[in-house]
Formats: sequence, structure tokens, C-alpha cells
Amino acid sequence: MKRNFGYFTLKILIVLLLFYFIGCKDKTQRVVKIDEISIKRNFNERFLGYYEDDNLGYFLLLDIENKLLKFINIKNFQDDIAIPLNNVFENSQDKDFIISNFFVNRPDSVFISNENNIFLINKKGKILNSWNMENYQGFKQNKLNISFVTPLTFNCGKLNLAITANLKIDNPESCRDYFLKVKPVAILDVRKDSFYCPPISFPVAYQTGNNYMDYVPWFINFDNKLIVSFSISDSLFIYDYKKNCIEQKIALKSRYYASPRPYPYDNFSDFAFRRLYDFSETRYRDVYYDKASNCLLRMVALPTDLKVSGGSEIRKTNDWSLVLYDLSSEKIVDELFFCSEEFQPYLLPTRSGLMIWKMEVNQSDSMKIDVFKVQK
Amino acid sequence: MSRKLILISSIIIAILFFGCKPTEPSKTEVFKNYLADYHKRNIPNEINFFIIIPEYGCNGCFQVFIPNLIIGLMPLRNHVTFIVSKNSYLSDTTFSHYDNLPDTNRIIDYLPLDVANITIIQTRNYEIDKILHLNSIEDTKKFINDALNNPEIKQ
Repeated sequence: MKRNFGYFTLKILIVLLLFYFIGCKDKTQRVVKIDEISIKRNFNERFLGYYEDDNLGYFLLLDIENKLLKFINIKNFQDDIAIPLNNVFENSQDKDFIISNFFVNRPDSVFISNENNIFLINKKGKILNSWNMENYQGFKQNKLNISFVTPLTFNCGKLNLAITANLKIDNPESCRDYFLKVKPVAILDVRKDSFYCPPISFPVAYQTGNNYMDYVPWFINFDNKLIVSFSISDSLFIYDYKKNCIEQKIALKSRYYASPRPYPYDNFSDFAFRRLYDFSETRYRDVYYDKASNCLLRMVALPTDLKVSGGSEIRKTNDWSLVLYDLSSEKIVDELFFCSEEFQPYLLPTRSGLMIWKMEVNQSDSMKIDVFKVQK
Repeated sequence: MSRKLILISSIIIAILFFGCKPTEPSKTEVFKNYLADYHKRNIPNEINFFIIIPEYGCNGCFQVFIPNLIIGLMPLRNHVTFIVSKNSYLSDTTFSHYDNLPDTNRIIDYLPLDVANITIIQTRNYEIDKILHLNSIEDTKKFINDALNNPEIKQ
């Protein structure tokens, strides 16, 4: 009897051991790797995003030293287009230049936001138009600022901006007040030269008096509408420009999602604490549309142990997951987990496939990207 | 036979629980290795303030605190080393009067040294003495004042 029990225990443990060693490699084939890309760059170049016209795709790099916006052709990795930014930044210090936000509509119409100014430049870097947001009714009076955290988007003559308000939040009352009053998205209608904050409010989860250190949502344009994703809300909010209202909500909950702990008011300016806090909480992040699969993809930053085994370094970023929502069946079809030791939480849906940035030990001299195809 | 099986089981359990937990190096070891590997330096014997300007932090803090540090610490500049990984300060002349170690690959940001915002690694006798964070102008002024009045430093 004892002997049988011993054998049984041993078998169980061997099975456990096998799961332990191979468990993490059992990945779903919902995304299939189809290509990999490596691009050289120097530390003076900051990656901005991706642009594609009818024929080609381009990586957008900001050459900080030479103040150029470079379009790197993904076929031969040559900088086919380099737009000088001197006109925009001639009076700006380098430090401000770095936190500017860009949106390439076409190489001949590039929007740049710098502090509360927006510029439209052409391929030669000539300023075609500029807008000082502080000149618009309600902007300065409500102490609004353009946030550089969420990328600009542009659709049908409307430039979408993430907005913060310069209001003190140091107790539950002021916090509740902020999230009740502030509308975190603003629209600059460049055709009508008008500015307004659409009725996109923070979800009720923000209006409890607890602070989650999260002030701007993520958004994309899709089907001439604006899809807005808040970090601590399971829903996606679809804003219709014509009706000027939230037309629809899509429940797009991550299986990993857990309500975050409020950030302690006493630790507001403690950045070491903040760094640990960011690694310990779940947060919804960017949302994307993948045309090839007709899926919405929602990124989720997951709680992650800061330490890398061995203890000689820490994680660069959180582990993350990607929720796949099929727009045809209106269902979540899967949620994929990505380890941040292998993949950065940065992806781009392109015509060539879903590009996901690899985590590199050496960050500045190259970017390595895996390209995937989404299979429903 | 049964004892053998229990012994094997115990070994497997031990592997599962302890097998993947290597000993963690101390902060001094981590910093020593970093200085040696990336800057060909060592932690000095005399008191020294390694001031880290990392990518992680608030831009407003950097813009206000750094000029204060540059001016305030001038009498102690032989005891100050800036380690700069923040991109916007890498090609900057701000630190030209000081010992300046640029970290273009942001290695320092990802070492287990609690680096966040402006971080001071104070060293003495080839070891880390303490790690401080400057999160306000008051923190910055206090740090400068304490350093200037440190009896161990000959100005």
C-alpha cells in the first residue's frame, strides 16, 4: 500500500514537473508570426509611429539632433522623406521638443502639438497653419492642457486631443470634483476653426474620490467615430461626431482585470513608490483596429514582479495581454498573454500584419519587430 | 523502496520550490558591476554623490531641480558624478563642469537600485552608503545643504 502510494506521488510530481518546465511554451496559435524586422537607429532618434500610403509603409522617427521627422521606408529602410522641424521649434528648447505629439495625415500635412500649440506643416517643413488652444473660449479659463501621453488622431477634419486640467488633486473631494467636471478629450475642428470638449466623461469608477494616477484615456478613430478606452473601465466608448454623443458601449473585459488599489494621497510625489505602484496594478491601455481580421485589439498592462530572476536587473515594463474582439460576431475571441521580457507593450496594426516590438537588452541602436497575422 | 520514493519526491519538491531562486546580489555589488562594466570605474573610497538623471521621472522636476544641483554643488564638484540616461539631457552641456557618465542605453534605469526621478547614490569606502530620491525642491535644497555641511568632505 505504502509502495503504491509512493509510486502514485512520484507520478504526480513528475507530471507537475513537466507542466512546470513546458507550461509557458504552450502558446495559442491565434497569432502566427509571419515576418521579423530589424531597423538600425541611433540614440538621438525617437520612434514616433507608423504611416502607410496606398503603396508603402514607413516608420516615423524623430531625429532630435537634426530636428527632422524621418519617414523610413519599410522595404529598404531608407529615409525617403525627412521633414525639417526648425520652423516649428525655432524658439523651443530641446526638452520641450521631445515631448511633442505628432500625427501624420500625409507627408504633406503633419500635425504637431507642442505645449498648447498645434502646427500643421507640409513636406518642406513650412507651417501651413497654427492654432494656439489658449485662444479658444473655455480652454484657458478651465486651466486645460494638451496631454502628450495619448497620441493625436485626425479624422474628417477633426483633430482629437487628450486633455488634462491643471487643478490641484490632493484629497478625495478635489479628486471627485476633477473626475466629475473634466472632459478628457477635446476636438479641434480645423475646417470650422472651432474647439469643443465632447460629452465624454470619466466613467463612474473614477468618481469615487479615489485617485488612480490616471488622467487621460486612449483613443482611436474607427469608422468615422472615436473609440475611447479608459484604463480602469471594462467598456469601450464609441463617440459619434455627428450626433455628438456616446453612441455605444462595448464590453471588452480582460480575464486578468482586477480593480486597482487607489493611489495613496501621501505618496503623490514619491516616484519610487509610483514606479512600484505601476507594476502592481492592472490597466487597460491602447486600443487598435486590425483590418485584416476585423478585430478590435485592447491592450492590458498586467501586474508584474519587478525583479528579473537573478536579481541583477528589473523589468523594463509590465507583462501585458491583448484582448481580441471580433467585430463581425461581436464577441471576444481570445486574450493573448505577452511576457515583457520578450515583447514590449507596443504594437501597430499595419497592412503587412500586426507588428509587435521585441524587448531588446540594448535599446538605442536598433529596433526589432515581429510581424504577426491574427487568426480568428 | 518506499523510503527511496519519498526521498526522490522530496528532492523534486525541493527543486520546484528552491531551484529557480538564485542569490540576489547586494545593491553595492550591482552598482559596482555597473560602473565597472559600462564606465570602467569603481566606487571611490572618499565620499561621492552619484546623481542619476533617469528617464523615469517628472520633466518639471528635472527642469527645476537640476539647475539647483548644478549651482549648489559646485564647491563639491570633485565629489559629484552625474549619471545621465534621460534622453533629452544626453547631448546637453548642463553637466559639462562635472564628472558626467552618459548612459545612452538606460542601463541604470533597470538595475535594482530604486532609481526613480532624480536619485542620489551616496557612496563611501567603496560601498553604497544610502540612496535618496529628490521629489521636491525642499528635498533638493536639503540634500545640497547636508552635502555642503558634511564634515567628511574637504572643500
